[in-house]
Amino acid sequence: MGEVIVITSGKGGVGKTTTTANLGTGLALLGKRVVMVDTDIGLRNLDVVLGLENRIVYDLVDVVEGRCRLKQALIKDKRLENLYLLPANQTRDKTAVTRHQMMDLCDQLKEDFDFVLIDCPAGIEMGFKNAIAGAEKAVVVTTPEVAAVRDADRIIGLLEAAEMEAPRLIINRVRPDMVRRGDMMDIDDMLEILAIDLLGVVPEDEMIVVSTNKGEPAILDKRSRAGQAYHNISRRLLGEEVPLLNLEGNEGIVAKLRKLFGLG
Amino acid sequence: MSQDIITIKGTRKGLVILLDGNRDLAELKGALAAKFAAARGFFQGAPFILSPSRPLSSSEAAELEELCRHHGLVPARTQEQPAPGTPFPAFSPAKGAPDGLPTALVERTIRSGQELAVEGHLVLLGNVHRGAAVRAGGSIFILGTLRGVAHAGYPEDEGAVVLAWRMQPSQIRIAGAVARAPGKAEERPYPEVARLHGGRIVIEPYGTPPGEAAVSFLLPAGGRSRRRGGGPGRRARSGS
Repeated sequence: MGEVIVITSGKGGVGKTTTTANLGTGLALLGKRVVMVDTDIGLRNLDVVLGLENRIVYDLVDVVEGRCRLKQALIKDKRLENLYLLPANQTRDKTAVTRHQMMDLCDQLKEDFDFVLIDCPAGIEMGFKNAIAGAEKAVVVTTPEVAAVRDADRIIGLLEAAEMEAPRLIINRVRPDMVRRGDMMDIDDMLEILAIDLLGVVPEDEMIVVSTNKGEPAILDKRSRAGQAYHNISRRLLGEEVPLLNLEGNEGIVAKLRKLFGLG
Repeated sequence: MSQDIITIKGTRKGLVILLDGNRDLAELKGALAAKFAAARGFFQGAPFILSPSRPLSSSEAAELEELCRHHGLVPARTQEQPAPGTPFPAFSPAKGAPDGLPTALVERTIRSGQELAVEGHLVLLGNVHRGAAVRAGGSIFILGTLRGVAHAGYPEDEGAVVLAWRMQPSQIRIAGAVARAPGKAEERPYPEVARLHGGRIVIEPYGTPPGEAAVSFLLPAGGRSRRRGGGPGRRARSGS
């Protein structure tokens, strides 16, 4: 029996889909059978980030409406043997599925997979409610911005109200140089405000833009700092104790500079 | 074994007499009398508060108080302690709210978008986050950090107060008055009380006599404190 984990944030654009793609790939790299479910019906993205867009035949709505079997709709990743995607429908909207259908779907998927990662849409409406319906655990993604933290707080409240197991936090797009200058919220401040456990910190990384456009998760690129962070988070999801990436230390900066010159 | 039935603690405000609620009245009285006899007038004139481990009936409490008085102790009325001046509810004794309002004890974090409203007083063991609100008919005691909105004395109890272990509110309302924090609030590492003083909401460190150290660092929202019901309270600052 697998685990169903929803990846959510409240605010849009903080990196839910990128996080889902990278953690799904990361867990698959660690040998787990993983399926990612895109519940952002009408605004489907996860397929693009994974570079699987043109393989879609059936989608989530086809499955719940019985137009195909679940197995038929699952798209196998082009790089990893044990990684699958259940894409969202692009023509309908969030009302196309119900909470009960999502619960049934998750129950079916977790019999077959070690991890079911649910990519949640932004907002707190129906799409969010559907996405969390079948999940037992939640990962909340936020960025070091007041608005994103506010929304994360709201989401955590809603998850608690839905009696979800204690959600864990990923802080995305952290810029250590700005934190050092006091121009960006630091991690301790955010943890104090949100009062939940930290799952990981992902540094801002230009490579994410490149990898997203290419349809290749950054975690597959050994040079990507964000990819390294996602790799560590994947291991933490498996229960390993992995120290946080050293974002502040000199090594990080030197390595970054080297990388910059190497690229330039 | 009388030590276990009765424990007397000296505090800055007088003696706190802890009573084992599992014993019956006769035992308590016996043990208390023995304590006083052993102390031989040492407690003469000392103010005292009874602190039973279970609520006493009023006749039991009266009998025990009478016994203490008989031995020269003086009942401490905590609201009389902040010398002359109007007593305010933050200093009222813990035993039974004098205004008859019930007190709700809530242990949780109030997160953005959540609202907690009670009819009587509210004691909250937890934080009130930005974007969250707590409201009470009486006073609000937050044993945590207040970052959101607190409305005490809803709708019109002007004697209500808001106490917070750490006070960083985006807005405080008492009865019909509304006040907001000016720009960036600095963190003050001590508990504070907000109350109405001459129609304005003021904040002072908890424990100072009313009015003495009052800082009205809160700005009235929308220019002046306004009565509720005179139109929707304008929020000068909606958080963040």
